[in-house]
Amino acid sequence: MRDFLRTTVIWVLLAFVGDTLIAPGIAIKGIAPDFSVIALILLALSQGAVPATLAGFVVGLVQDLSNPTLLGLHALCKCGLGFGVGSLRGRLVYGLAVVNGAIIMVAVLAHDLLFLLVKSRLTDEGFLGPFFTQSLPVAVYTGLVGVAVLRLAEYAGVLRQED
Amino acid sequence: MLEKPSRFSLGGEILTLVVCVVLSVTLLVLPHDTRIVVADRLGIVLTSPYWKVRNFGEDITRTQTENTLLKQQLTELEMTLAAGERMGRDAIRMAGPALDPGYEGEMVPCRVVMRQRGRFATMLKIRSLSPVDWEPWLPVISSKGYLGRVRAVINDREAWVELMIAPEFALGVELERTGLLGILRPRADRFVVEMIGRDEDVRVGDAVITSGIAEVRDSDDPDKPVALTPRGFPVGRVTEVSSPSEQLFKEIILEPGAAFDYNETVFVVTPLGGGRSGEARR
Repeated sequence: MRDFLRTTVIWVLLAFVGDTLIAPGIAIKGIAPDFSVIALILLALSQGAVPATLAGFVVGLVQDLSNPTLLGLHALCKCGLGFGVGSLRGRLVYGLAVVNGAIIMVAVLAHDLLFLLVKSRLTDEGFLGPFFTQSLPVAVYTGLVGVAVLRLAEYAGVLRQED
Repeated sequence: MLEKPSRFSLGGEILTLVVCVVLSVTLLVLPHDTRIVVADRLGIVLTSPYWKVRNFGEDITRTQTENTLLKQQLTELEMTLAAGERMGRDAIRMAGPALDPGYEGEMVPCRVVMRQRGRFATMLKIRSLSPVDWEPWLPVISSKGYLGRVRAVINDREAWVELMIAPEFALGVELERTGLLGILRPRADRFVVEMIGRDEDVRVGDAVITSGIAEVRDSDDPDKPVALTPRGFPVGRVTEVSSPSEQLFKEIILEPGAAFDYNETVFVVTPLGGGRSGEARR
C-alpha cells in the first residue's frame, strides 16, 4: 500500500508539475518533453495495466478540459497507452537506458499517431505535418528526459530490480 | 529484468480498459454544445482548484515585485528630498557648497533570501530582481535606514551583505542637526557613536546620518578596498547622551532606524557618488 501511495504521489507530481512548470522552462523552440507520458509509463511499469489505464484516463481528461472541442480524445489515447505499456511490462527488458528511451519514444509516437488520426477525422486538419514537425521531435526529447526520470525512479525505489 | 507481479487478473485489466474507452468515446461523440458544458462542469471539479491556487501564487509574486519597485521609487524620492533639505541647511550654517549633500546614484531593489548569524559574521544574502554590476563595499539600505554593505558578490544577481550589527563594523556618521562627525560601532546589544567631544552639543533625539567621510585607520594592506558610503543615509536617532568626567568624549547611544530581524526589500546603492565620499575599515 505504501509503495502504491508513493508511486501515485510521484506520478501525479511528475505529470502535473512536469507539464505545467518544468516543460515550459526546458522547451527548445516550442518542443517540450511530454511529462504526462513519462509519468504514465512510470506508473505502468511499476504498478501494471489497471492503475495505468485509470491514471491515463484521468490525466487525459484533465488535458482535454483545456480543449473541450476534443473532450475525451486525450483520455482515450492515454488510457490505451497506459493499458498497452502496463500489459507489456512483463515482456519488456526495461532496465536499460536504451530500452527505456525506446519505450518512451514509441509510446509518444503511438499516442500522437492515434490522437492525430482521430483529430484529423474530427476536425479536417492535416495529419502528416503535425506528426513529423511536432510528434517526432517531442518523442525524441521525451525519450531523452524520460531515461533520466526512469533512472531516478529506480534510485527512488519506485522501479525495483527483481531476480 | 525489472518486473513486479500484477495484482489484477487479465479480465480485470480488460474490463478497466473497456470502461475507460467507452467513457472516452462517449465524451467524444457528445454533441458539441453538450461537450462544452460537460467540460466546463468537469473543470470546476478537476482543474479549477489548481488554477486558483496557481493564479493566487502568481498574483502574490507580481504584487511583491510591484511593491518592491514602488518602495524603490519612494525611497529614491525620500533620499533626494533629504539631500535637498540638507543642502539648504548646509548653506544656512555656512558649511559651504563644497560639502556633499549626499545620495547620488541608483537604488537596486533586492530581496533578502537568507540570513546568517554567527559569532564573527552577521550576513544577509540578497537577490536582485535584475542583473547588477555590483562590487564589494557598496552600501545597502532599507526604507528605514542604513543596513550594511555588500561583502561578497556571488553572481550578478546575488550577494552577501555584512550588517552593521556585525562585530568590528565601523561607519563614519554625522549628527544631522549640528554636522558633528563621529564613528558608529556596534557594542554588544547597542550602537555607540564615538569620537565626539564631551563639550559638544548632542541631544537625545538627534538624527544620525552617514557622513560620507572616510574613517582611515592603520592597515597592513594598503591595497585593501575602501568602503564607499555616500553622505546622507539615515542611520538612527540618539537615545542616550552622557559625558563621564574621566573621558574626553561623550558616550552616545544610538537606536538604529533599520530593522535587522525580519526580511524586507533592501536597496543596494550603485553607482557611488564618484568616489567623493568613503570610509575604510581595517
